[in-house]
Amino acid sequence: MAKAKEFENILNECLDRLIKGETIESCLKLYPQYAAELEPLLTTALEAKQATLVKPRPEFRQRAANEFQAAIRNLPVKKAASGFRWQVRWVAPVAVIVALLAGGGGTVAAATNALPDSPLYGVKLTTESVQMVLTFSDQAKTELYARFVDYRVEEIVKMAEAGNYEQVEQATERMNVQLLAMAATESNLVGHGEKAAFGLMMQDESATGPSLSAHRATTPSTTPAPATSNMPFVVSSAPPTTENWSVKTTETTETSNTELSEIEQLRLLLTSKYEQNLKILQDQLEKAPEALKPALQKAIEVLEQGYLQAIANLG
Amino acid sequence: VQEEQSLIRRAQHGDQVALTQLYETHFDRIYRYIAIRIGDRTEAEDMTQQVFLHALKSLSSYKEKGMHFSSWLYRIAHNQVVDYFRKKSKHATVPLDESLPIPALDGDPKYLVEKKIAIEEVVIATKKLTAAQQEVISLRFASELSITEVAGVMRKSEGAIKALQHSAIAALRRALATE
Repeated sequence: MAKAKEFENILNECLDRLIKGETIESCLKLYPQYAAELEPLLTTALEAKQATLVKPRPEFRQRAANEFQAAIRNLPVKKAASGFRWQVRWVAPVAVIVALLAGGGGTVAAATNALPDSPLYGVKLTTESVQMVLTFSDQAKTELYARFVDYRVEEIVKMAEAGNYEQVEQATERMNVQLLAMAATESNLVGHGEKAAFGLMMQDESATGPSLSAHRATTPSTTPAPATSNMPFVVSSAPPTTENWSVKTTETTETSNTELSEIEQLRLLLTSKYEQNLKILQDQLEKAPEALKPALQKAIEVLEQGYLQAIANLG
Repeated sequence: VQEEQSLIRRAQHGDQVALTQLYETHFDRIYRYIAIRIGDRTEAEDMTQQVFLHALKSLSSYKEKGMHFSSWLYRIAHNQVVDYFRKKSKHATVPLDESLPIPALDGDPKYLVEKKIAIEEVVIATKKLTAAQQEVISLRFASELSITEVAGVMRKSEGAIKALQHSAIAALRRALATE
């Protein structure tokens, strides 16, 4: 009985190692006395692991993300929590605000350029959260999310240059979350009718295959300025080329040509930022070592999907 | 762990970014768990969406001290799977849906064909296991949950899950040998 339990513990430890990517051989070396019994079980477990790596279809992923974001927007507003919990939850953000107001925001300022492997990176993320909390209009929130995406792209590049695969993946994950939140926020700016039309268009697009790659292939390349953490919100003077986009790029020409609507300005801003960041990541992909390419390709995919949705949501 | 707890607390207060982050962290693995358990892509897609919408509605009822968040979330998915089989009443004879997406594979075409066949054999063999054995295989290998988390989902002790895991792999090996 005790021996059976001991074996089950050892088997479990080896399975944990396999799941984390270690080899069967490395585990057998740790427990040579059980190797004959372990080896066939671990081989079967590895086959099972490989067989279960199914992936959701991209069009389903997109549709599900849209529905989830819509459900979040429909959540009832929560009442404030009790005093003590409120205090604990707001200690870090309030500390950042106090530091900023007191003019002693040196740490916060220093954290602005902190990279994910820096001790100040947590301060940077907290500062971003505070900025978002203190931003009230949907348009301003959208612009802020776009700026945070610039930061993430910069971090991806820096971490790729440092050969830090894991941090490239983590920065990509943060970028994905912020792109989704951006798309959800700015969709509040347009009417429900337009959003429904967008949903239909996305389905049509998914049925005929991804069009962003076609967009990339046919859109003339631009030579954008590099995105820096201090990039100002200036819409490129050269209008972005969007005629090949499958998303709706309607001519909202009721507005005068010289006076663009807020939505149109936002669309230009996002398009400009999308093209700049795409170019930066593609350049990095070209010069990156082979080992880092999958992580950078994933980052490009996330950037494309996120911005495509965000721009399309503007109607 | 602290980071996840903080994320969950923010999500419970309706923080959009925190909710999205939790969703992104678990989406693929929840889908894999359901797809492997039921073997039907269309149903798996619908059920995955339902899991997250249900979780969103009942997130305020989640208590950190009760169980791991992932166990709580997979418990919702588990209940969806149980309901699915109850409605279908065909637990032991669910056919493998050919549309079930196969993992993305790289390599030469001959290798890909061999790999695809090997994967299909495993999926078919898995269907010969008991429901509890299928459950532990899905949770451990498709969703990569720890033994503690699996124990939380299946409401058994960690020792019982380790024994079940052992018997499931041994049964899968036998099923593969008889194919």
